Amino acid sequence: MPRGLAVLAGKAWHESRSRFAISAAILATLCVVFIAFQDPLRRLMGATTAPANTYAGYIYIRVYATVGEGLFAVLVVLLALGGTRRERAHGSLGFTLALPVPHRTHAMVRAAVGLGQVVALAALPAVLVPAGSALIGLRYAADQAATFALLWAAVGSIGFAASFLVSVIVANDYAALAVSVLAVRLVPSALTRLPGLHQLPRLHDLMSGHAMPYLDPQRATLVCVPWGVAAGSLVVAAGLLAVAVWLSGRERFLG
Amino acid sequence: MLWYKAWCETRSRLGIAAVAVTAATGLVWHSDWQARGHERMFASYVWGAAGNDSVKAVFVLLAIVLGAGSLRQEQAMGTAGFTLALPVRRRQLVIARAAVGLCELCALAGFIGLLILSLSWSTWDPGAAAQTLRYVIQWSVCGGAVLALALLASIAIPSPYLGWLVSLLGFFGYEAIVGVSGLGRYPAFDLYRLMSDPRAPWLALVAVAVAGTALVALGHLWLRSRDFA
Repeated sequence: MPRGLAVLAGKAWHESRSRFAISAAILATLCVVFIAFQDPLRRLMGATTAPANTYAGYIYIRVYATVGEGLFAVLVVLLALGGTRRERAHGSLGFTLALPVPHRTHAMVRAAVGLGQVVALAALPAVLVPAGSALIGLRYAADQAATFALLWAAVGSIGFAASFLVSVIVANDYAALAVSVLAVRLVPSALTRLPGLHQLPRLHDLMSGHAMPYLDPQRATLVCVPWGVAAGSLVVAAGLLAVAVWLSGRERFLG
Repeated sequence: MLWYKAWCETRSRLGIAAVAVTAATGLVWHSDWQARGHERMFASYVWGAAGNDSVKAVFVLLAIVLGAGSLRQEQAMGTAGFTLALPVRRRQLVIARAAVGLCELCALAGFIGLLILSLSWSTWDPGAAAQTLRYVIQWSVCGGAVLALALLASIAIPSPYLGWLVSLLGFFGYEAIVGVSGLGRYPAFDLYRLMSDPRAPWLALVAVAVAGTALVALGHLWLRSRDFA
């Protein structure tokens, strides 16, 4: 990697590492709590029918379909925020612009670092769930966890890219945060109400496999690796990021 | 002057919030209620327990966004010196910020109420207005407590993003603990359920209002002892 890019990557990492560390800590804690206290929590659920009454079903419901997945969706939005618009509001933009690289390179490197963090965050349950389950004498298939990690990383990158685009357009911290969170929450639901788009799946369903052909709802397991969904999600994310980088390159910071 | 300052700092968020709740309410109206063939009045349907989860979740998120922002963030942006140069006590800064946030939240809850009543005009009856007013009060009080939590987090944490994240997780973590521990039996503890409780438990609402005030007071104590040199 050229030294200039390494410097920019280091800058992007320094700006987002506390957010990433806290996000990873929260997600890891959640997984550990769900595994360590699986017995009382499953009793509390009181499930008597499959798949909720099985350990794999319990992990699916708690980690991959509701709490864990919802948390991940919020965290990837948060990881994407920042950038030169925010730096202008904070008065530190001059230092960044003094670096001898084009504007769009800043955005590209920040996007790359953020996507790396999204992948790392998605991989966390894939490591913790099978390992933690083994520690308490239960089994959760590693290939299932890995496939869910792939889905989370690919579909999560759409949320990341949408939030990244907002961060390029909106300067105010809180306004960008509000727009990003609400956009990721409301826009996919709104799109499915439009004529002709009602069959468009929601991001939540793509990540959890809910009502998708690649999930067996009776066993709460993925029946195949959804490469098509992963590839499609990456294409959408790449499109959003391309728009964000293009907008970033056009921005003028005079005055 | 302080009120105007707080208003200028938060008005863009309020605008976004108004658009967001309009979109969320519109989505509920467009999808579920229409699909159900109008068998229930829209106001009853939205304010009822089950169907309004999307609007309620958006409202909680917005309460956290509206409550965020304090001298700590101003310090990170380098503008705290101007605020501290004003001849007012820090207590007044916190009170003005909390009061403006609360007014905005009440306005937002009222706006949602008006929106729901407007959308249900075709099935209008006097009971809907009374019911809406009651829910607006419940949402304002419970949202006020969430707003106070967000204000406290933004006083304790300089990064706006982390402050927001901590507030959000603090709220949902609290709700999870209430659910697991059985405290949910008492209406005052479960804010999320209290927002859509059709019985309007006034005593619980008073308790929540007191808790919200205590959080703001805690924020003031934190801010008062902080050295901004």
